[in-house]
Amino acid sequence: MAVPAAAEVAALRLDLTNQGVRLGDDVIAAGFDLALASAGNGNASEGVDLILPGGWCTNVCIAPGYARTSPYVLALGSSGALELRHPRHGIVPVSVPDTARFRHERTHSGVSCGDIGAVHGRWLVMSPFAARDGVQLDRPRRFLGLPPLRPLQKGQWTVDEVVACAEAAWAHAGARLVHLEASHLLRDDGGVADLSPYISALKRALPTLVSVSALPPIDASQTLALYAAGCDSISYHLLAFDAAAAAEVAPIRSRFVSHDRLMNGLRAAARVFPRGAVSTDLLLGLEPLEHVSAALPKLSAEGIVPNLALFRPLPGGEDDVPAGTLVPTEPILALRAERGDHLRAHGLWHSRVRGFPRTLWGFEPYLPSFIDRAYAAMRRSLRVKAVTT
Amino acid sequence: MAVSIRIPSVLRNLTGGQETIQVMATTIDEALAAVEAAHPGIKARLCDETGKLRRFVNVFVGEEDIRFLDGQKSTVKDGDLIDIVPAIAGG
Repeated sequence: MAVPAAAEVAALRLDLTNQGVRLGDDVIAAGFDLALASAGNGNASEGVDLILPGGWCTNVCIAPGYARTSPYVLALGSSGALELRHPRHGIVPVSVPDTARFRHERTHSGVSCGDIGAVHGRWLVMSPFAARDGVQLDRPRRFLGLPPLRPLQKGQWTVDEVVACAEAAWAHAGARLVHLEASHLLRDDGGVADLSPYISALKRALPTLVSVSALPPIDASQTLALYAAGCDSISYHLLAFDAAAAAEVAPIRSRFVSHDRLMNGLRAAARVFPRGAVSTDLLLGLEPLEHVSAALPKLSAEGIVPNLALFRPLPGGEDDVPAGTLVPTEPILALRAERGDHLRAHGLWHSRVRGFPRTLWGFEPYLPSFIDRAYAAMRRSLRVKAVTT
Repeated sequence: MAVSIRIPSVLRNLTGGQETIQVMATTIDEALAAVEAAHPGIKARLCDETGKLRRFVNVFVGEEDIRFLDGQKSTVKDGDLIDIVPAIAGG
C-alpha cells in the first residue's frame, strides 16, 4: 500500500471532494452507511470526513446519487483497516474521525450535541438559527453551496445550548474553532444583533476563534459591531463574481441582497478585520473559469480572500438538473495555484483564522498552530475581563 | 430491569418514529433482542449475521461506551439509558 506524497494528497483531496466516493459492500455491512442520515443541523454537506495520509481531513460525499460514477471506492482492507481504492492512485490508507462521543453528549436541555452542530476536523459548525427565522432564500440547487437548513421544532438553539455544544466538541472531538452559519438570516444589520450574544458567550466559555458566514448589513459600518462582538473571521458569499450568474443560481437571494451590497460588505469588512480573515465563496461551474481567474486578483487586491468552492448535492437535490457545468479537477488545481500566488502577493496567505469552507472543501488543510492558539487567547483576553462560574 | 433505548434518527423509520423505547433487559444483548422483538428489522442494521455489533455502531450506557465495559455482555440496571450512536457522522 503506497502512501502518496503531499502534493499528490492535495490533488487527491480535491478530486475526492469533487467526485465523491462509492461505498464497498464490506463497508456498508459494517454499518458505515448509517452516517448518511446522521448529519446534524450544522452539517454543511451530505458527506463524511475522511482522514488521508498526513492527517488531512476532507469531507467526501457518499450519497449514492452523487457518487455513482466516482472512480473511488471505500473498502475494508485485509487487516480490517479502511482504504480507498482508485485505478490511478491505487490503494490509499484512510481513517474516519469517531465523533460519537461528542454527538452522544447532551445539553442541560436534553438536546443531543450532534443535533446542534457537526465537527469537521478542528471546526465545529453550527447554525443557531432555524430556517424559519430567516428566509428560505432559494430551493437547494446543486450549485448552491450553502448549507442545508433543517427546520427545527423550536425557533433556534439557545446561547446556552450552543455553548454547551462547543464545550462538548472541544472536550470530546478536538474542535478548536467555531463556525456560525447564518447565511440564511436576512437582517438589515447583517445579523449582528442575533449573532453577538452567541459569539460573546463562546468567547467567554472557550479560548476559541469564531468565524461567521452571513449576509452583509445594509449599512456596511455594522460590520465593525460584529468584529467588536468577537467575530474573528467573516464570509459574505458572492457565489459568482459575475452578478448575473449569481442571480441565476440564487434568484431569490439576489432580489433581497444585491451584488453591490455583498461587495460593499466585503470591502468594509476588509478594512476592519485582520488580513486574510475576510472571505467569499466562488462556486466553480457557475461562470466561465476565465471569469473566476480574473476575479482572483481583483478580490485579493481589495483584501478579500476568494474561496474556490465546489458544489455538493443537498439532501433531495441529487437529481436536480445542474444549473452550471461540472468542472474537472485539473483546471481547479491550476486555479488553486493561481489563487495561492495572489493571496501571497497581497499578504492574505497567512491569517490566524480562516473561513470554514476552505477546510471543508479540501482546498487548504487547517490545523491551528501554537501561534493560532496564542492569538485566540489574546483576542479572548482583550475581550473577557473576568469569568465567573 | 426496565431500560430505555434511544434510537438514532436514521433508524426511527423502523420504530414508527419513536425516539425512545422501553424494554426489559439485564444486558445489552437482551436489550437489543427486545428491541428486535418489538420492531423487527432494527437489529440487522445494528448487528451482523453473528449478532455482533457492526463496527461503525456505538452503544453507550449512560456516559460509558460499552466497548470500554463488557461489550454486548455489559449489564444494565433499572432506569439505565442506552444510546445508539452511529460512529461516523455525516455532515
